[in-house]
Amino acid sequence: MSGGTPARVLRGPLRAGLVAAAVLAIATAVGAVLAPSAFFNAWLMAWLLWLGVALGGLAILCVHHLVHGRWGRSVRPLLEAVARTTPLLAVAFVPLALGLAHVYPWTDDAFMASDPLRVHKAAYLAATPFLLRSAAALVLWSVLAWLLTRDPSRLRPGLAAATLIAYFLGITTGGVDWVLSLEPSMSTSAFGLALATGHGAAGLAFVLVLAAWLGRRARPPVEADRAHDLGNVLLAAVMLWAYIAFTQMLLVWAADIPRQSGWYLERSEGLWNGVSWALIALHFAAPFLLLLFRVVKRRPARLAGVAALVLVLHAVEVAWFVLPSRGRWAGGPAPGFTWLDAVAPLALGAVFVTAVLASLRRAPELLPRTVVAAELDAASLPGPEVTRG
Amino acid sequence: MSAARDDLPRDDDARWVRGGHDMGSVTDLVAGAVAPARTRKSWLLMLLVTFAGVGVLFVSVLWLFSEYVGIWGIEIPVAWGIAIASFVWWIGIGHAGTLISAVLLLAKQPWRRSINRFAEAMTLFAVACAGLYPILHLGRPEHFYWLVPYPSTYGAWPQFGSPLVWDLFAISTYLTVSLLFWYLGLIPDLATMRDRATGLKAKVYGVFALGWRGDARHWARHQRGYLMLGGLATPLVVSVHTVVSFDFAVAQLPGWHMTMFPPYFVAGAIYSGFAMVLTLVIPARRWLRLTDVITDDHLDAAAKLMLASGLIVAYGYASEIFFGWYSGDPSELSLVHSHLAGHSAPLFWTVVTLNVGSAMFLWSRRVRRSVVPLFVLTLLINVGMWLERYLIVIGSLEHGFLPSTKGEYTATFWDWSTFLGTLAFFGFLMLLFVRFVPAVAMAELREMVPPRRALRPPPPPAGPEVTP
Amino acid sequence: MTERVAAESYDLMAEFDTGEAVVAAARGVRERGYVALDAYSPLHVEGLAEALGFRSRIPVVTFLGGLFGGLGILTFQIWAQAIDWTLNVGGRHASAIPAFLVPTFELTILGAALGTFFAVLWRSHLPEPWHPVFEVPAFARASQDRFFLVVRADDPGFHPAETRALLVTLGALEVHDVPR
Repeated sequence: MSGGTPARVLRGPLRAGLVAAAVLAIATAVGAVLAPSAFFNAWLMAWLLWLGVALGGLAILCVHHLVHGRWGRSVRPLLEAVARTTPLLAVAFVPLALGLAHVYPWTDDAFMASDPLRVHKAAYLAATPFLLRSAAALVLWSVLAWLLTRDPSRLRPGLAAATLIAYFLGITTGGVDWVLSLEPSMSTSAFGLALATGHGAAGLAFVLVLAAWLGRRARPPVEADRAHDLGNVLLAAVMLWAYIAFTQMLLVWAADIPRQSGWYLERSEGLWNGVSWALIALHFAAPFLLLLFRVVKRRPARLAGVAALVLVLHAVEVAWFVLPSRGRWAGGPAPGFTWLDAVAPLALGAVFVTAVLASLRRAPELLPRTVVAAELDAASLPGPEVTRG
Repeated sequence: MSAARDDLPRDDDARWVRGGHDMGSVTDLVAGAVAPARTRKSWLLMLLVTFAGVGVLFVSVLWLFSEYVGIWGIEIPVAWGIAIASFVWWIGIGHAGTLISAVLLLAKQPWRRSINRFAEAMTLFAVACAGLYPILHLGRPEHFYWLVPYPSTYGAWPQFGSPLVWDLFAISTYLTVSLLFWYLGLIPDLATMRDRATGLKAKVYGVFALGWRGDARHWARHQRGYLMLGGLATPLVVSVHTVVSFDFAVAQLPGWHMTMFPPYFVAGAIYSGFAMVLTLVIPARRWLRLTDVITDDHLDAAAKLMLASGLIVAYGYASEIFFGWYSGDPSELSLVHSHLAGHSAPLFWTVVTLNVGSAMFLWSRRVRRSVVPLFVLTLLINVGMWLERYLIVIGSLEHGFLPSTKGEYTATFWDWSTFLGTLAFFGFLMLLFVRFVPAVAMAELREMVPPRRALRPPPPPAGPEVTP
Repeated sequence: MTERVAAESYDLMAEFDTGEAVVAAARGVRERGYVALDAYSPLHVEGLAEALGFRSRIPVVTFLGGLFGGLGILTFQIWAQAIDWTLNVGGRHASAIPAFLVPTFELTILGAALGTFFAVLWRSHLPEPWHPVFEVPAFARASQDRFFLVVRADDPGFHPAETRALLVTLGALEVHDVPR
């Protein structure tokens, strides 16, 4: 419960994070040497998982810059710390870039020539344009994230709008490149938004878990009113995610065009059917119902519990995107799960969390008290309370 | 690039009302503007013009009931004409009201209070206009009740997988909930009108005010209920245009089957809805002399939301082209080609210019705050959004999969007379609304202004700390 | 007016010009043990109903209304299309849940909204066209710019003169009599 500067509070956790990151990174490196193909495929999953958290934090930070809600002010340093990891995730793309042939079927010319639909995209889904597009998006996002987080005391609505535009455009082409192109015949225009809404929920969930954890170590913790607001934002994010996921699925199901419905069929067979139901129940239904209740939203610790669930389900969703599509072509990697699929996300996660903590260490305070003066002013206006409950 | 300090409050309520008003004077302002002692000639003239238009609608509908949809320019393959395009357009316009009321209520945006009543009325009338079209388009409109699941003698039920049945559920729910939301907010203001009026007027307002007397417990329930309705209306408003988009997107037709359609339609609805709100509010606030409570700041805020939704619409156009190409489907590809440089290209680029081009002007704060340019932009966007729906409905149907499914569509006189008739019907209802119903939520405006202090010659000992 | 009926049968209505004043007065009279209290205001005053010891349970009705509407139509659709008259739509499962979710969603909202709206009116006993407070001419401003606190005569601690004096010390601009 002791106060103190962020640097002192975070010294212990940082050291633990560094050790965990080092151990897991060594394990992943060993795996990469022993089973390169399994490593590259696992790395795609790890990278998508933490990219989603980082970009989600960046996007929510942009929204805060644009609408300037009180909810955002209470966790702004955390959002900024998450957004600042964007360049780290850009660097983490490099291992994937080195192993494209182990991951994506479009690297196989024979596979691409075997179907007119694929022939049509062969020039688009090729290593050089793929890398150029990815690099453009990642570099642009990194620069914008850096500019946006440079001065934590300022609001930059124009820059935030530009960042959001870059994010949506980049995640649309990125969604096709990084995820959908695992099965080149699949094309669905809502996919960028499906990713973005998931990112928003995951980024916010990560910040809420972090805030609750920091709230026990550093003063002041998140106030009940702000926790309530943040809970509502998480509720909105979860509902948006469900909205896009559901409408996309419904339209594919109703129109029943083979090149699209095949993708969903793979995810409704065997184990994946269970995972699909888990996503519905735990990424949407459970958080939705829990977040309707004030007793959940007003306690940062309980809110963090719901957020942790959303965060875990974000990881499950990434697996749901990637794993059923793995090795769907002759000469591709073996389909199925390897031990690296568990270790690589943990390794990148340890690096990610350590980076967030390291960046927070330089923040003037971990959880700024929301501007009480402004609220007092509003309350002391003549007349009855002006705010609605 | 603007930069502001993060620690300053930006949305203090007081800045949204000009002219040093207090609770008494905002009441006088709104109630006086709404029910003036004498009927204004300009109002009467506009009422007569729009009433003539309602007559046109009446005749068109009568003729339709006699001759059925053959009087319109529709034909196989283009079996949906401007009736459906107008349906989508009207429903879209009907989104802004609930969006302003419900979403901005949940987001605690104080500026909604000056325009929510007006926008909600617009919503109701626009949805009423929209709701006409699917019924008129049924082919046998007198059997519209077959859509309702009632125990008929045939023993058959509606097909619940059909978007037409979804439409019925979505639109009737939306109309009902919008009406409840609007009316619940209106009750305290009707009580104000009752208390200020005499004679028959007081009786009529009194009936609709349900005996509201501002009891604190009633207020507490009212506010909880209002907030609940806001929370319900927010997902509802999203669902309605989503269901409208399903009418198209469940099909396999190129240009219709897009998984992006639901959010893209919703954004388009918000965009055109805000455009219509501004088109109406800009002249109305002058005409009703309400510039103190509907300020340039309100126009600015609404224009910012228009810009945001306009950008999503632009994203939708870009996705349509990109994913049309990326799908690799030959019919999709030929539609993309037609839009970019073929048969439908003139229309497509007009739509892009009007909707995306107009939005770009809204980046400028000066444009957002100057009345005439903003008004012109909203008109362009209204037209652009109507054309967009024309392109989606007719452009795709004209195209199809095979050479044999290509067709042409030309709207007939009755197509246009029905559309113009609904425009007049909408205007007619809006005119009645501004004349008889408080166009601004007075009870909510009072939350933003100081109370009217009573004159008290000897200052009495006040405050709870004084004991008798 | 006082000559017409005995003084005990009048409620006392104190008039205020600000929301804070009426909230403070409401707290004041409650602290002194009064329970038969009503307050009136031209806008929702945060904390006024709470000062009278009131808490709204509208959200419960909203939840139940939504549950009823949603579950009702979902069950009905499954029954109608999978049991009563089995419908094969493009080879999909007869209880086509994804499609049924659309009407289910709509009727959840409809049920919740209707429940909320009518609960607000029902619990407040509205419509109620006439009420004693309307007999006070000054009360017309309760819907415009004045705030009122009523201590009803059926309160066990009610005393015409003392209660009136208390209301004046609590800052009332004026104290009106309300015929019962």
